[in-house]
Amino acid sequence: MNSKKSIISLYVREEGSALISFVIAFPVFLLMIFSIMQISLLFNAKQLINYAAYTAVRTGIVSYDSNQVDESQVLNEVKKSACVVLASISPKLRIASYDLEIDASRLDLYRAGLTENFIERFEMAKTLTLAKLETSEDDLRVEITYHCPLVVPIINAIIYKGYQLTSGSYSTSHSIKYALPISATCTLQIEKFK
Amino acid sequence: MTYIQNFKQNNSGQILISVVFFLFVLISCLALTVNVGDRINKKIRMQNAADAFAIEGGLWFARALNMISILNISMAETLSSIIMLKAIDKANAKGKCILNSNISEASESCAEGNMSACRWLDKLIEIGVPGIDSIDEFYDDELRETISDLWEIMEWLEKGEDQINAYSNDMPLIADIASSEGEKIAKLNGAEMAFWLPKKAGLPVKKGELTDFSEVLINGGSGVNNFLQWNSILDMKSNNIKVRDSLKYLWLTYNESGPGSEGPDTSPLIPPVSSIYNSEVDKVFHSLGKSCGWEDYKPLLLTKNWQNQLNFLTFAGSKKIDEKLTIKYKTNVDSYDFSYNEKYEGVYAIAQVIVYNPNDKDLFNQEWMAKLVPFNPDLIDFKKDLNNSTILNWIDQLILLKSIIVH
Repeated sequence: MNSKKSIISLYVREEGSALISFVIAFPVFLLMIFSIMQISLLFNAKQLINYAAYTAVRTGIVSYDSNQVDESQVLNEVKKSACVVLASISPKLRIASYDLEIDASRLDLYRAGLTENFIERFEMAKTLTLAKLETSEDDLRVEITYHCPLVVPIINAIIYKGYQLTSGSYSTSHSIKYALPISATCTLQIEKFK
Repeated sequence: MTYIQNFKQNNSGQILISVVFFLFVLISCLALTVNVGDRINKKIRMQNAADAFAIEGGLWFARALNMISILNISMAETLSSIIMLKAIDKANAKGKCILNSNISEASESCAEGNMSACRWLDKLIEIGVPGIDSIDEFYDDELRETISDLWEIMEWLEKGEDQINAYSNDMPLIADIASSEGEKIAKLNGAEMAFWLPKKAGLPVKKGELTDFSEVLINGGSGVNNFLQWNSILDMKSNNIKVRDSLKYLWLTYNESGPGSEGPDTSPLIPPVSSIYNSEVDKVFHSLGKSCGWEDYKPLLLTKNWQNQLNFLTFAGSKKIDEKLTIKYKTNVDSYDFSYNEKYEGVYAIAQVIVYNPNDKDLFNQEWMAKLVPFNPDLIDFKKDLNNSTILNWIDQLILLKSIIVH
């Protein structure tokens, strides 16, 4: 009698229904919020990568000298200036100790008054960034590809798997588990000698 | 029923809490994206403004140097014309005298039956008589008048160079123009403040000597695609006599020796024209120059460390960022700190420009240009401007700039 009564009362009573709907809906909500966060971070990254491409190509046209072109040197400068921008959204690369005597480029950064925090991020940005140079007659075109780290849990794995299914995997030189390559291009006219 | 029991049983408003929380997350994510985009746009605009400022300012310096170059070339060409006219003047007088004496001697010995003297007489008449006969007093006066007019032109050209290198408001004129015009353009590009460093840099020029012209006159300058060449002058005709021939007579008068019996065409005494010409110009510059009072006319030349003086920096900045979507926090700071913060918040850009000459680096060619270069503060000498307190502030900002990354 008692058990029958309790089952009937389970159908009749409404106290826990809100809880159950909350339990069902909350993960979906959470996923939605996570995706909002991750996607806004990706948009943020996209804007910065666009800007990085602009600064990179500006560095390129400014240091381009058709009389004595050293493409690899220009590429180096271009990548460096892109990484300076992208350092602000990169995670830190943990390095055991800095050997300032050896690494001249890092010494330059120290001399410029940049903090260790920045340099760690800058080093990470270097591993995450790919730069490509293309020159036509008067134009310099730079393509920056940045492997943007996906930091929000759950949704990062979903985005990464989705990327792998649609575009296949990419060759990596970095240690980030989930990253989405985003690229931006910018073209400007070279400041050439006659 | 108590209040607490009522609260427990009432379900309305449950969703409100989660909506408020999630809306906060959503709006802050949106704000982040919008603000970063806004800042980046502003940063790119400031970079464009700084670049435009740098190029515009540098171009004014390049224009001034090109202007000085063309005036230098004009002075050299005027000087060359004066030398030529003087040569013609001299050659006319002395050539006339020599020809007449030669003709009278040759006609005498021809009359005595010397056949080679007769051939020589024919040659002399063929070359000289049509020209020499038409030289009269009027022509000589014209020539001298032209020469004095050319001296006047030299004076005006030199005045022009001084005007370009002048000062206005305790500042080199060209630096004044470069910074004010560039600032105008930076502001048109959206900058709220724009600076040009070093502020009081003038043109890296100094007065040379008259003899600085001689090398250009003999060998030609580097920017002389449109330079009046000596050969073309030598081929000119003045009163039916080629300048080349006038110079030959001039050379004859210097050597004080008549032609041999073989005649002028085969005479070994007449050297190639270029060597006549070179020795003549050297003579004019090194011996005659001072006695004529020519040293008053001097070209402007580049100073030794001109490359450092043609290296400029520009700032362009907007003082405050108007964040589109933001949750502001206020800090209790006094007015000094606030102004410092205001600077810190702004978006800045920096550009460096050099004025350069891709070919020969002198002031006798007009190929001066301006070009953006990678920013390198070590190349710029700030010491000159350090007395100015506002510039000290800028240098603070420069140091800040290097540590601020847009975000």
